[in-house]
Amino acid sequence: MAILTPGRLTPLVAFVLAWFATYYAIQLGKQGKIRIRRLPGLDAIEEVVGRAVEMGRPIFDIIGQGSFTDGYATQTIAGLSILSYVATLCARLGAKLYAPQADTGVMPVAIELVRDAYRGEGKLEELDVEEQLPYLSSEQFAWAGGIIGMAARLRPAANIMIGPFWAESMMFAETFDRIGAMQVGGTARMYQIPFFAALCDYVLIGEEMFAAGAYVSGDPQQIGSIASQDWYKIAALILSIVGALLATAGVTVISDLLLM
Amino acid sequence: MSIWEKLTAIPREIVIGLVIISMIIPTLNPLGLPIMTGQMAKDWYNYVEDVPEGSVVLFDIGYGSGGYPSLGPATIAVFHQFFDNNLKVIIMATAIEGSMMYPLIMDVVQPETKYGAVYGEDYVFLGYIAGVQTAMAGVLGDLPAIVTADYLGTPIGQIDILEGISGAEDMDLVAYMTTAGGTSEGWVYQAYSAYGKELLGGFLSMMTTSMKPYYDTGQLLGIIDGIKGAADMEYLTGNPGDAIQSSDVLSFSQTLVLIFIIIGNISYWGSRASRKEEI
Amino acid sequence: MDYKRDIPLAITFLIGIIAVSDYYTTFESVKATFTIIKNWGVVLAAFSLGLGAVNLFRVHGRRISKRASDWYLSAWLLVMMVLFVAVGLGTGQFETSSQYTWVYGALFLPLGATMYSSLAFYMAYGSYKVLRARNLDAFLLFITAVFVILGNTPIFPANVPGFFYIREWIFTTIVGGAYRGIRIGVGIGAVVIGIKTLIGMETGYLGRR
Repeated sequence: MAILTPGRLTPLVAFVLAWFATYYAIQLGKQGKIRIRRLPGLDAIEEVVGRAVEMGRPIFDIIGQGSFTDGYATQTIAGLSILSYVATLCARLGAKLYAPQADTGVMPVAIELVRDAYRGEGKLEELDVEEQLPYLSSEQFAWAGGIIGMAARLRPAANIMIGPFWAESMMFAETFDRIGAMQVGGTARMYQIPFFAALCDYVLIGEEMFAAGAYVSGDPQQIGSIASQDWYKIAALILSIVGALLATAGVTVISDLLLM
Repeated sequence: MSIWEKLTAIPREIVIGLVIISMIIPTLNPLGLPIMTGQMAKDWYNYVEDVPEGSVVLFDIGYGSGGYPSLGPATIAVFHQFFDNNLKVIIMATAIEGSMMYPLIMDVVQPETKYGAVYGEDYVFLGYIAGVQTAMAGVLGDLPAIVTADYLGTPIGQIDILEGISGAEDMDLVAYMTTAGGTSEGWVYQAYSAYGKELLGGFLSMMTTSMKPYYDTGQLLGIIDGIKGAADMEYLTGNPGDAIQSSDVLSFSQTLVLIFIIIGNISYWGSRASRKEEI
Repeated sequence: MDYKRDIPLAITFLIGIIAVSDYYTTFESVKATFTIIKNWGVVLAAFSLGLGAVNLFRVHGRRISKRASDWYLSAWLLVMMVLFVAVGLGTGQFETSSQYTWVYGALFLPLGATMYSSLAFYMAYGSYKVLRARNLDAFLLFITAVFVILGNTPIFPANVPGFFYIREWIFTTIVGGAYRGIRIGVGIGAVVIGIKTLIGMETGYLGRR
């Protein structure tokens, strides 16, 4: 009886190699040998929070509708990393943060992260969880309608949307743009990236948001782990080019290898 | 404010107001503007036409109220074709609201009245099955284990159409309509990759870009993309409905949007040119 | 040892390894274990739905008692919640009852369809504002958008089929290529963040740093 599920040998090998690559990249990061390019979208977060403080208006951080059990869990985790960072900045600088919630599984984690951030800055008494992190709905457009309504009433100075988004992305981007909020948008859901790219002041495209947690922490080990993503992308690029050229010549060794 | 600057900053109320008017006119007075049926919808239609009578189709309703305006007409047209060709249809829902879509669709299709189909013999609705890909894997792997009764609570052992249906090997075709990216790709993984099942997919137009690679590689045999695809299917199946009527609305409103985009660009460059002249 | 941090991390690692093993191996014991874990997940999700309902009652109940702005909308929300539950449970047939179908079709369906359809207006105004050829990148975006709209609007391809084929070419080559590149990057990023979660480097989901 086969131990491995048929057709998954190559993915398993790639996964194991990814472990080693990540570990090696972390070691290189510890030694300070990994540098990553600036991500304007993440650099801008401190700017947008500062803008909110100056204008005396609140700031929104929307982490999307994902949960921990669907295929978008990694994006939700990335969004939570940013929420923690934004909450710290808001607590430190005195901006009022609103982070409406859509998923009842993610909500307790988000609340704990924000509480932790405010506690770390000694400003826990300034946080009103029920007002600032309300659960709106798990239903897509009920949640979207709730956020649009909150935005219209509260008129925030800034909006940070990093996480998995669906059709509501266009609604949010346009609504917050209309009320004059500065926007940082990021999602790995490809259908929605064009809307963020068109309407947000700063945008994180695709895997840039997965680097968010590491980038904002500044932790060398975390930054090192980002390098392993890039090594894999280079490998994918080489395989794609070589495979395409070979396939054009009628040699299918690369595609056969990948299908093992 | 020069004319160029005014045209660069047309108020939102005017733009949206004119778009609303462009939608109301053809709704109240359908013009029957021509449409060109797309190849993806033609492929769907032609494939189903070639499926032998009595073949078993597994159909997933993977959308809710938000997707109903686009995919509801598409589902209705598709069901017309299924029943017209005497196919056996096992309907399930991977979207929570899918079970609410089913009666709306069947009220229009009326399989008993129009096609003499009998519930339980020619078609059955299994209801909402939680878990998206887990549900797909379960239904295709071992249907009796995951579904014990249909939507109305009838044990599946008492449902004629499900007799002898244990999973993918007893199904001839899998088709779905969905607004969820996870569902649209999930069926490709679960039905095509795992079982090599023939697969037809319908989704919103904005999802077509992402799903078209599967069509190009033959994993999806046909695609119905949003309201446009629904109009194509209504035309091909000879059951004109909301989607064909919406084609006029699409033609009007999208032409208006195009005009606004061009106005925006002309005015932008006009205002830049006039500012340079002033300098 | 920080028990509050290390025990959840150990649980994450263990369950993650079981999930990975379920995908790559054929061991029946692993598959059976993962099935149980997935079932636990379904039960947890069901309980968390109840948490959401309780939260809604608390938040909106507080708004009503304090007569906050638009408090009557909060009252309406709670009335509707109770109505849907009462109709669903009252007939004993849940969503298969004609009463529930009627309430859903009269209230929820039009609202959901309207919200989704309102995207058209957001897109219309967004397109007018954003698609301006300010520089080379914006010009390319503008030209692409024009040809895609021409190909998508039913009346144009019906009269000039070339518009449809140009749109198809844009989707198949330019957009398809770009999407595949982004998809590869996203997939790799998701794998790395998954590995970081398993080894305890990514702790955002724990609710603490």
